[in-house]
Amino acid sequence: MAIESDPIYIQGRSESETQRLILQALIYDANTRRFLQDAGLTTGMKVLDVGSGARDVAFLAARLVGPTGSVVGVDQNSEVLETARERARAARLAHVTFVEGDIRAADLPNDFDAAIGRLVLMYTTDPAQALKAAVNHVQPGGIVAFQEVEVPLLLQYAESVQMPVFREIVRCLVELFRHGGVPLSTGFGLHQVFLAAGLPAPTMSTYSPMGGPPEWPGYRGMVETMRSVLPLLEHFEITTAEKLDLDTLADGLLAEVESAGTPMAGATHVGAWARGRVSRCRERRQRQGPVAITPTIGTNGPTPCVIIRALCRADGHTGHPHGSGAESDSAARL
Amino acid sequence: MTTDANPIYFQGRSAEETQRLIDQAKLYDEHTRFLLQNAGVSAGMNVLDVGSGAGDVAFIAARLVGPTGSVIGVDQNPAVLETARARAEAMRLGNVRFIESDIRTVDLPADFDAAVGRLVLMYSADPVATLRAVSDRVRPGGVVAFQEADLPLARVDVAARPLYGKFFDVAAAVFERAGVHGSMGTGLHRAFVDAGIGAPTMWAVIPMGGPAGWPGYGWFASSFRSALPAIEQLGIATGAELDLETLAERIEDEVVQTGLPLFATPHVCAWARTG
Repeated sequence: MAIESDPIYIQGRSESETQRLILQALIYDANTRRFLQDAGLTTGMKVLDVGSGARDVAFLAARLVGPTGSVVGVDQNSEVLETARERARAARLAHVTFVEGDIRAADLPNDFDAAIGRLVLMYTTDPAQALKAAVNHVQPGGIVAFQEVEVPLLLQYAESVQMPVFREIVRCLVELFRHGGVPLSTGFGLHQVFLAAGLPAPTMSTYSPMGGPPEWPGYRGMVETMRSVLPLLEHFEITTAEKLDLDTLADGLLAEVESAGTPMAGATHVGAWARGRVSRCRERRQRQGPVAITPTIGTNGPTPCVIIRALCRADGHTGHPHGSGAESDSAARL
Repeated sequence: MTTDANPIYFQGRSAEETQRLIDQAKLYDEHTRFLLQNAGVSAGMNVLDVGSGAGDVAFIAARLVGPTGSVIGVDQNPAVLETARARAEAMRLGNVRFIESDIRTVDLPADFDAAVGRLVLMYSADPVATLRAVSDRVRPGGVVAFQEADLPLARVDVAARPLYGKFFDVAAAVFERAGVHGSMGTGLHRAFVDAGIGAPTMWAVIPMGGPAGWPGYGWFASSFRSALPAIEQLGIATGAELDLETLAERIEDEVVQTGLPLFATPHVCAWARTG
């Protein structure tokens, strides 16, 4: 994974942050690649990666389409994109470029073979509107493939097992989503979001990591996620650093798995893909110009923007200012 | 050779059931391939496929291990093995063969690089004993990888979609009364630990759909058609009550009306290496 030689690592990224992103990539990237392949991403395609952020998904796609294809990542955060560009150069992925802007307003071509994204619609005020804007850049019959988080499934599982430490963590995350105004069920909701964006009903599947042996990355992944959102958890008075006790949390989770005899689970990713309609695409494109962005202003402390940033960091993908230190292929070697 | 206390394979052994297994593969094969790849099944390995059925898992393994590897599928049902052999021949997969036997008693070497299975332990009277018998056939440091159903994970939004809810309850009842382990999926953790293999790396998958023509609608209906004799015999419902001939259309209509995707049975994938 060549983290030691990673120039970005030297440029001010903390060890724990790097570790967390490696863990996230280990747990989720292989499934994202499987999902994109199943959706039909293949050699030579021109791909739009929405909310490209930490670049993980853009780089996964770049490897799938190969040097005869190309990937354009679009993200609102210029700092993220500078890092992503450096990562692309370091990885010698010349066919990945990044554009700063909001997908709902960005000046982009309309002939992409596919629009993809991971954990990005959940942070928009109107997911169908954002998806529609992305689809407008895809040629008729092109691929639309997004992965989003589904929290209630994790909550249902956490409540079905006798694991109080794990259950408390899930409670904290659910509360954080609620305080932050982030919808809990964007995952299963993708069905309706696709329909509302004028797409056919998507083919979908969920992925919920569970574990595991002591070396399973999910224990520490959960700890580092909690570390990233701790300031917000304290701000909203959901919990405190003392109660969470992050330094012993990984051991506590493992001990609980061993004593309960049931696995711990991580956040569920729901993937949905469909092919854009052939006949109505162009008409729709002409009808809709770029859409203005109207962020909702929070009433309870940090604005959704701030919360969204923090949650993005927690998920390690979108909008992160530093990018992932993990090689995207690493999960396949688990 | 079936052990007396085994749960009922309530889908029976009809030609339609064999076809249902092939349709089922369309929903789950990509997840099984992903499991085997993550578990480390790779070129040149010798793989044991437990409860191989129509052969779909064996075929995935056969393609992963390639011509320098081999796959042996074991199943107790001679009719389904004939189908599996014919399919292997049609696919020109020369590195896979099928044996009629029970994994707990079969005479096979104990040096397989990997043992795999899909929807097998849930039908075993004693999944831990079966898993132990399986891991005994695997060399030290080899792979054990299973994919099993977990029905309770699919109990989502049942109030908002009454037809789905009704059939979920029928499925749950038939699992329970047939003695099938409906929570075998998440139960894989404990089964692996109790069989002495150690805690597995796991994940749950739920295929959902879907667009017109999605194979899940037909598969959903044919699953209940295969199970109907058992459903009637166990006194859960009658064919007239369930109206299975129109079920595929009705369940698709409910998806369209409610905007909620249809869930296929959740599967949990688990793998670990033997000590």
